Amino acid sequence: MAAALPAVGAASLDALPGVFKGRELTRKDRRLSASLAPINTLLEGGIPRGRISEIVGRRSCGKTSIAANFIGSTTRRGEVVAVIDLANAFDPSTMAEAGVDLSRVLWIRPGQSSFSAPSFCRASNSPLSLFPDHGDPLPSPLSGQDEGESQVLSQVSCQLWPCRRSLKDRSPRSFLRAAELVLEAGGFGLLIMDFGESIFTISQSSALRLARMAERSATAVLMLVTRPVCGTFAALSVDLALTRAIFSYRQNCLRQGPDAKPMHSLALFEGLETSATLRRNKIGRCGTSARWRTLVNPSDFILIDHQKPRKNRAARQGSSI
Amino acid sequence: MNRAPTSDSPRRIACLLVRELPLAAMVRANPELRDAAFALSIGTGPRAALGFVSAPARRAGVVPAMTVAQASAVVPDLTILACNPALEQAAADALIDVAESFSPIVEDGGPGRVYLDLAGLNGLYGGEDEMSAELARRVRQVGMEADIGIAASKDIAWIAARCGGVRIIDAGRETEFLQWVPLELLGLEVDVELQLERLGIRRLGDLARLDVRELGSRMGAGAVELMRLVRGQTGGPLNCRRPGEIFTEKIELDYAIELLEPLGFILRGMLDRLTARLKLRGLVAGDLTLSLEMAGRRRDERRVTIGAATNEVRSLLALILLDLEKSPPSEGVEAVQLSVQARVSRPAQSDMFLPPAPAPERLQTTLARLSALCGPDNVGTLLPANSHRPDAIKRVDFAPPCGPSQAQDHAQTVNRIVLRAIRPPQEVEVMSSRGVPQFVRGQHICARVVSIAGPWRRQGEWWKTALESGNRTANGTAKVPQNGLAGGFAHDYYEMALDDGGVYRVYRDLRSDRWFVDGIYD
Repeated sequence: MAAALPAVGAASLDALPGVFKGRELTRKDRRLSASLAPINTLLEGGIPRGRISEIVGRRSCGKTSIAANFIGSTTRRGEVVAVIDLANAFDPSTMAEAGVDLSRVLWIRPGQSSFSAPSFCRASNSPLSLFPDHGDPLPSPLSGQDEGESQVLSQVSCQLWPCRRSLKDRSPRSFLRAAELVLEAGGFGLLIMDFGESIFTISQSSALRLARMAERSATAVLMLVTRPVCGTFAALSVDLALTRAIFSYRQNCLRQGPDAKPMHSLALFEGLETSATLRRNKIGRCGTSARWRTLVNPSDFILIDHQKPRKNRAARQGSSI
Repeated sequence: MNRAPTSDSPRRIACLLVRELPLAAMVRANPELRDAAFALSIGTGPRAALGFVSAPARRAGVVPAMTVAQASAVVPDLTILACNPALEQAAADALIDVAESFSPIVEDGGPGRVYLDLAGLNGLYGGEDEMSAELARRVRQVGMEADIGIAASKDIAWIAARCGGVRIIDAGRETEFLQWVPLELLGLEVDVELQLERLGIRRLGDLARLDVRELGSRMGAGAVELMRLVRGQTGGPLNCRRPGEIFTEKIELDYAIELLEPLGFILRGMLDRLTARLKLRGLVAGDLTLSLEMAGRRRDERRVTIGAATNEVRSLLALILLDLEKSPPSEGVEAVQLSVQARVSRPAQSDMFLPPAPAPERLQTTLARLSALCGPDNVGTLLPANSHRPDAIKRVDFAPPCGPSQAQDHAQTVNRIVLRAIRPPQEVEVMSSRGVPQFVRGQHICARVVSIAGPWRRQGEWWKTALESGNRTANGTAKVPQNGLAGGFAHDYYEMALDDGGVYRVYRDLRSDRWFVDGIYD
């Protein structure tokens, strides 16, 4: 045993992904890096562990692709990731193509009926219901253990878009409760909270509670939102914007060789060009910006023509295949 | 006094005895009856006889064999309940679970009586005093009180337990113990006991002094067996039973329950008792089978799948209630039976040289809580399904691999795009000019097409019939489109950049000639 110890030197220990020195546990700038160089440069190494980070942007701005990049790099390091998917938008096929090890991703879709909340509607078309006719809310068989839960979640106001639902909808409640459960369990490297396009407000107390739990569990929390929701409790906030959608137009030839003649042009969707601005950074400088491309197939990408063809050319493409 | 193990008495048998099991089972299911005056009747109505009477009721003057009317006259506020065989069976099973949590060699000696072999357990518990104390504690853990006897054979252990409390008979002193034991402790038939009493025999020691042949010729073979017992000559081995993997609790209700909430309270009590039994054995609850008996002998049996095995009652109850709310029973429930498939808890341990991961037990509990919160179908790992449909997915239980990931992490300068799925695909109206889409209008999209790529045709599952593919007419019959694509799917996919800033994946269903948006590139 004594002979084996010198072989594991400081350099080799540093190379191990899960090994770090004791004092690093108390450092607040431990980062979870992405595998994309421009993001790491923009975020000064990645998103901070034990903190809440926000990626703010509209649809097709590339925020899900960045999240996939973080998930991919985290799972490749052997860590476990939880994705709370409010919009039911997680697409495993493209995530796997983006390098995500799906076996290390816990997918949670909140919003189904749950018994954590004390109020329930009468079950229709059945003699069995949760409350008798007088509707007196007697103590539930499930109540009495998590009293703090309903307190915290009642502070969430709910405004959903595009699916505008009534206030009885428990999606936001179970969304936040699911995040709390994941953070309570501990051991997750990254927690993605995908708000989709819903715009519900997290109260200050709920955001503070999430931030405290993230700090205790040392889990990096990444929120994908269309507008900032965490306010001062977000350590990092990045604004994303779509610069342009990249379509390429290639000349399609029926014959190969020197006598090949172009028959018609073929449109291909190549990807998106995204610009990002670091709007808020509590542990570093802010205001920096970066730009990168998010592509359908990065290895085969050869941009031939950025210009949009004339209308009559585009008209021919529609029936080209 | 701590009794040290002796090398010349390797065989030590303990007997767990629960007196008046029907009363103990009722108290186990209704802990508020523990110090109450109550009685169990055999049958219903004022003329039904009382079978069992609790100690406070007995002190108040109620005795077994009284009718319900008589007992009510003696103690007006006496609680009278009907005997519940299902509860008795569950209590007997719980007692066996206690024994199996203690020793691998266990014999079921009948309702309320269990024998277990203590050989070799001294190293674990220290001595027979500690063992008896631990056994008593575990019996209390499942909601009952038991008398315990420890001796060299199971019959003497049973007699020792009948003496009450905890009684340990040292090896070699069995005859000395049996000398003073009164005859009524054996629970003999009344006529045999009377016959012996006429002979002046009141203790087992008196019986042991008689001649076996003479007693046998006068009273038959039963008396010979009794003599062998009294002289400590019995010593049969224990008939071991295989430890059960399914744990069951059943309760028969006095009246039908028609609301989910009271049913939830009953289920919670049953789950409390089941998980206590599972914890004793170091097991966790897996899939549940709930059987509801309704009026008219109708039975509603359902299986509740537990994604992550756990002993957390709150999560298990939430999953059962979710299932009940989804498809409630059609009538009032008169009896409930709950069976649990026991699972061994995951014995994994995190590696010191790997990144931190959730502790296995906490992860299981968290998964169970999440399943209860969001529904079992909404928690797990999403994987692409083995299908040609681009939107086909499947959910599997979350079980992250223990070892490090084999993939290498490289820094890149370009990112790979992913799709945000829209489930189910949203139908849109597409306006085209010369066959090229120009404008898209739907419930949440209304924008001009800026750029477009496609179409890319995907078709498959042609072997399916039109009905399997969901292509049916209003009256439910299979609808075969004019283009001859009877089953499966045939879609033309487009990537469309609209002037609302989004890039969408849109497809045209060739069977129905309708357009759908099924994803947003983001």
